[in-house]
Order: sequence, then C-alpha cells, then structure tokens
Amino acid sequence: MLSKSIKQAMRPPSQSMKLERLGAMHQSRLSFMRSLMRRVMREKWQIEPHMMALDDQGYGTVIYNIQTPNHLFNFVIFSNYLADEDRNDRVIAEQWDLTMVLVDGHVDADYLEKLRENVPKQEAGRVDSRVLVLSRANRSARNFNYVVDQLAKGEQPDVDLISKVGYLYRTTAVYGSGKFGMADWAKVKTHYVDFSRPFAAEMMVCFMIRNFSFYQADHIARHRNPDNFQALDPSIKRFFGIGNSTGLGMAPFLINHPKLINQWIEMREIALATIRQTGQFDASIVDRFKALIERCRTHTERTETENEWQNQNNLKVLEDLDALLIKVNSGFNHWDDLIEWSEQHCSLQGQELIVSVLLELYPDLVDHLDDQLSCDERLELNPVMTLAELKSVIESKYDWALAYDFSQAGSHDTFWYRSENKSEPRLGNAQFEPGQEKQMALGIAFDVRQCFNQLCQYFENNPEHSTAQFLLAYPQLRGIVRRIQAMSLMTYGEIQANLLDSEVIPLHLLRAKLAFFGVGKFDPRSKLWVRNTMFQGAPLIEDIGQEFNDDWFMPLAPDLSEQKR
Amino acid sequence: MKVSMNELKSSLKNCFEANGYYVGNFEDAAEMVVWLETHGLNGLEAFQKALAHLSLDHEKPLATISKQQADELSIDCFVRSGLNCISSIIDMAHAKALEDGHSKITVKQCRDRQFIIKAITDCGRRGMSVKAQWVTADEDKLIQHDVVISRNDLYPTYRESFIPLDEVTIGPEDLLIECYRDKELDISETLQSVEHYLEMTPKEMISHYENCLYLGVDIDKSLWTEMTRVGLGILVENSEQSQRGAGA
Repeated sequence: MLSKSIKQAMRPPSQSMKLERLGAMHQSRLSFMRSLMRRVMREKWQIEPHMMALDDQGYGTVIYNIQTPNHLFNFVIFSNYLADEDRNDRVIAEQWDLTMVLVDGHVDADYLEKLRENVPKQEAGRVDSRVLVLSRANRSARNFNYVVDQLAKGEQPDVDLISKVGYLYRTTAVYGSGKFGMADWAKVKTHYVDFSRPFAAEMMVCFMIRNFSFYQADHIARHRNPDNFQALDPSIKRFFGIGNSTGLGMAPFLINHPKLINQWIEMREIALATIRQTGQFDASIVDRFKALIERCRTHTERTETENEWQNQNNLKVLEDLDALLIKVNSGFNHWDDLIEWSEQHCSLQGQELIVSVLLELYPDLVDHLDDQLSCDERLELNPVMTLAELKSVIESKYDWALAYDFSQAGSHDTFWYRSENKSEPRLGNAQFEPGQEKQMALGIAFDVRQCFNQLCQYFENNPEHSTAQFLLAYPQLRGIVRRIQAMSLMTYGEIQANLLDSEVIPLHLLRAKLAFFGVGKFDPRSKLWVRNTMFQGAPLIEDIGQEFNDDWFMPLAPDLSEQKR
Repeated sequence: MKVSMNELKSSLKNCFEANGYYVGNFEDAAEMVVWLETHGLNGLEAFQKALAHLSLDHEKPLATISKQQADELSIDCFVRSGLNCISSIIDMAHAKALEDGHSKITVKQCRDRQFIIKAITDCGRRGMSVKAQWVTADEDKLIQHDVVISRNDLYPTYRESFIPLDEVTIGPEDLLIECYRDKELDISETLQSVEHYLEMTPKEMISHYENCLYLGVDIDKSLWTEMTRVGLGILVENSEQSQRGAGA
C-alpha cells in the first residue's frame, strides 16, 4: 500500500505518458536485463558448455547447460554459413548466421534433430512447448571479421574502433509467449520461476548469444593461428553487447498491453517518488550522483549514430548534463529541486536520464519493485456502469484524447496494418495507399472520440440506460468501451498520443519498450526502426560466482593501457 | 498437431476479424473458443461447425430486444452465431440482475450456443449466479445442455442429458439464461436431470486446462490450415510502396 506522500509525489500520466517522453526514456535498474543479471549473479546460475561441435570457421551446433537453483535448461545454437549479400535484418528474411532456442531440460540427440529441422527456419518451422524462446542473430560483419583478424594476429581489437558498433552479433527477433508452438507465457510464468518476470527468458537468450559471440570469435581465431592467437580480453568482452534491430513489429505491443505498460511505468514512477520522498540525501550520495552524471556524459559523447535527429538529441543531452553539473556544484537542497530544475532547463532525454541516474543511487528502494512488473492483463467490461458515468469517465480520464481535432488535415491519415509479407506490421498513408479498411485498432484517441460522439447522441435519448444496453445497440464499440472502463482504474497505461497522425513517430514507441528491456546506444535508421545494444557492460558467464556490484549502467570503454603496464 | 494457447487465440482472432467481427467481439470470440477447448468442452469442434457460417453474420441485423417485461427479456439474434452476440447478452443479464435482483433472458434464433459457457464463467467470477439451458438434436435424440455457476466461483458445472420431446420447453435455436444477484446456486439442486450422460465439473475443467497449458492444444491440421487461410483476410497486399522503410 503506497503512502499518501508517495502517491502525491508520483508524476501524473499527463507528463509520464506523453509519447515523446516515453520515447526519451533510458535504461534503468528496473530494466529487465538488469533484473535478470541480479538474479543470475545472486543465485550463481551455472552456465557451461555441454556440446561445442563447431568447425574451424565456427559453423556447427552448440549446447549450453543452464542450471539454476530450480531447473535445468539447455540453450541450443545452430551456426550456419551466410553470405554477406544474403544478410537481412528485416522480419521477411529467411536465413541467418545464428538461430537458437532456450529449452526446458536436457536436449538429447533425437530432440536435437527435431530442433535442427525447425529452428533454422524460424517462423517457417514449428517447435513445441519445451521451447521457451526462439531467436536468431546476424553478424556485424565489419566488427566480427576485424576482431577475429586481430585475435588471430595475437592482438586485442582497438577499443575505439569496436566502440563504433559495440557488438559482434545483432538479434533481429526474439520470440516467446507461445509463438510457433512454443510454451505459452502462462506456462513460463507458472512453471519456471527463474523466468517468471516479463521477458526474462528472452533477455536470457540475448545474454547467451552475447557470450557465444565471444566464444566463436576466439574459436575461429584459435583455429586460424593456434600458435599465436590471443583470446579476447575479458574487459573488452564486457564492453561488447549484443546488437538488436527493432522495427514496427514491436510498436503494437505497447498499445495492445495497456495494463502491463501501466505496471512498468507505475513501478518506475513509484521508484522515483519514493526516492524523492524518502531517499537518504547527503554529501556522499551527491558525490555518487555527480560521478554517474560524468559517466553518462562520457558514454553519450562516445555514442555514435548516423542518424542526425538522434545525434542532435545526444548533443542536447550533453548540454543538459553540463548545465546539470553546474547546477549541482552550485548547491541544491533536495532531489525535488533538481528534478524541477531539469523540467525547466533540460530536453526530455536529459530529464529522463536524470530519473534513471536517481534510480541507480538507491538499490534498496528500487530493486524490489522488479518483482511487480507482471499483472493480470484482462480488460474487464463493466456492463452495469451507467452511461452518465461512462461519459464522465471519458471526459476526465481521456481528456487528452478528446483534445485532438480530428477534422484537421492529416489528423488520421496514418493507418497501421499487417502486410501479407510475413504479417510484417507497416504504416500506410490513407491518402494514397490501399488497406485502411484492414487497419489495426491502434488509434485509441480516434476511437475514444468516435465512441464519445456516439455515446453522447445515444445518451440524449436514453439517459437511464446502462453500458450493456448501449453495447447491444452499438457492438462495434465494445472494444473501446471495455478498454476505457478498465484503464480508467489505472493511473498510467494509455499512451497519450494520436497514433494516426500523419506526423506520428513510431520510434518513440520502440524506444520506450527497449528502455524497459535495458538497451542503450539507440541508433535510429529511420522513424520506423532502430538499432541498439543490449547487455553492454554486463557480466560475463565467467563472472558468475565472483563479486558483483550491479553497476554497469552507461558503461565506458575499458582502458587497456593500465593492464599493459 | 500441437499449438500453443496464445497461437490459437491469435489465429482465431485473425479469423474472426477477417469475417467482419468488430474490435472487442473478435477477441471475445477467440477467448470463447480457446477457453472451451482448453477446459475439455470441445471448443474447436464447435468452432469448426461455426466456420461455415461466420462470414454471414455481418449481413444480419444486430441482436435486438424483442420483448421486455419486469425482469424478463427476449432477445432475437436473427440466426447469428453466439460467438458474435452472446457476450453482450450476458452483459444485459448481468446488468438487469444487478438492478432487479434477478433476470431471465430468452435468446431466440442463436447458433453456436455452447459458447455461453465461457460468458457465464466470466459473469460468475464477477459475483453473479447464472444458469443457462439449451437443446440440440443429435440424430434421433434431443440433448438438453445445462450450465450453472454460483456467484464468485471460478468455474461452472456443465451437463448434457437426453430429453424426451414432450419435455422440451424451449425452441431449437433458443437459449435460456437466468442470472441472480444475491442467490447462491446449489449445483446438484439446480441440475436435476435424471439421466445425464456427460458432466464436466470444475475439477475436470481445471485438469484439462493444466494439460493444455503444459503441453499445448491438439488441433486437426486441416482445421488449423483453414483457420490460418481465413485469417489471411486481415493482411494487406504487399507493394513496393509499403515495403519502403517498413523497418526490421
């Protein structure tokens, strides 16, 4: 039960749920990757190679054992040759460098053959309910070949060069939750406590791909030059992440899972409010804050992107952080002062970075909230709600939606649809593209307005009627009315934006979800898709069992010159 | 073949959406089929029968109240599938019972009535006691279907019984629903048929569900293929324009 003061200190949805602010979020302690790593390190999961059948070029089959306190899992990778010109990150691709699955229990020879027949086919294959996650990854050819060449020569790769990309492999899809025959999320949540938090199994797969990428690079280099090769330095390995390429496929999730999004945002806002109200505030914590800001500054300064929009955002963040340090050094009384100052003087990305940094400072106040990131996602219709009450709910909770003027040109020109090409989600323009009649119901603001208009008309003649009677007459409004009623009981969850506007930037949706995953180094390729890096700075498999300070937020490149001396 | 519950629900949603079901309705319809199947009530068999006439529903009039007096209503579905109208009808039963303490709804001309079982379960979970009854014909026999849930229970009890023609009191496409606000329903007292040949208890339903959760759902491959084929109707034709900048 939240105290009144914490509730009052929580930022309102009119602030937190604005699309542009969601799209400015950064990773934090509550991100799924961080939560998973804390668990793995605290519980000392045993992750060991079980079968490493690779040829000299690194092609073949690999199985890792993952032994948790509760269960044994196998992580199986198929590594196949792929020509550079065949490499494609789009969801419509049909072949990949690596394909993999996370499986319940031990994979014997027969089961391995079933996986071999299906896993490399990805969406075109079938798996069964022992499989928790299905995924694939493509090489970053530039980086991979360079790293292998260096190691084969007996040298480490140049950290500055590899910083530009920051990963050896890039995932292009990580499937879970019952797709293609695999285990339902309901099964994973109830039967595998190790992966009972949202996307924990998917994050585990990305962590394992990352570790395999190092193994494979070492393996190929060793075979190329067994006498002189050098293994990849652990501090460089930690600096590598796993790349990710995310497009529109992720966007509908944030609209179609509003209660879950509410849960994620609410925990983040509770964390922030708790810190503002009760976080210990003294000289040592301010010193730690400053050190983290410096680190963020260096990390951002060294982040490379070809996207001019993101570049400008990063430059603005640097300005924000410089101004912030001046403010901090001039003295301030409380985190509230700083947050209010940032809202006046910083960009949205700067403001949200400060929030993430504050969360870093208080693990005792924040970390336990990662156990509350799941929820019952059912949207319940309340058929007995009077129409007067329904009208009032829309006017108060959906005032943001009613504020849009849909008579304006361009206000609902965009439509979201699924293409016949592998059901790939795409954006269309209703002015000159066909398919609007098959659009996905993601235009919540527009639907609320349509519903409200119809409701007002009906209410004039039937003021005493209930929601049930209204929906018997207008069954086409069932979905939006149910959503309105259910979400009116939540604080967050509804993204306050007109997603049908001709100027909508879907990138904001992608970044919001990716920030919850814990990714960094956002590198947009258009307003529809973004490359990013996962697990950069995270522990390695060989770090499990060693001391762990859970401090890999905004990691910096290692300084190998110290080690050489 | 085996499919996951999520996969099945997703494919069903596409199928219903492609058949013109509205937002809200196609989700409910998919939930009904999956719920019945995973709780041992042959949802897929019922869906397969319904598949043939799904596309006809959007040409039919909407379900309408044809008679109303006190706490009794008659609603005409104009031979729509229950998949497309039962949710709203149960909502009416719920709303009326909450207001008056009791409601009785006779649904006329409704197909695929067994999907009421899911809707009743949801209503029970929301604190209402509900019972429903309908009659079907199987060759030369008449079968009475009864389902009952007492308020705040999570699962209903379902029975099938043979019934002689002279004891039938409702029409061949009728569905009788009664909903109570404050009354607990004693299952054995409410389901008083003499010769039921099938009974599904909450315990049995839960057992079926747990099996499906762990292993997946069995589905005939040709039905899966057909469902998937129909669901393709929600996809938009590929074009050069649409491929540009579509993202990863």
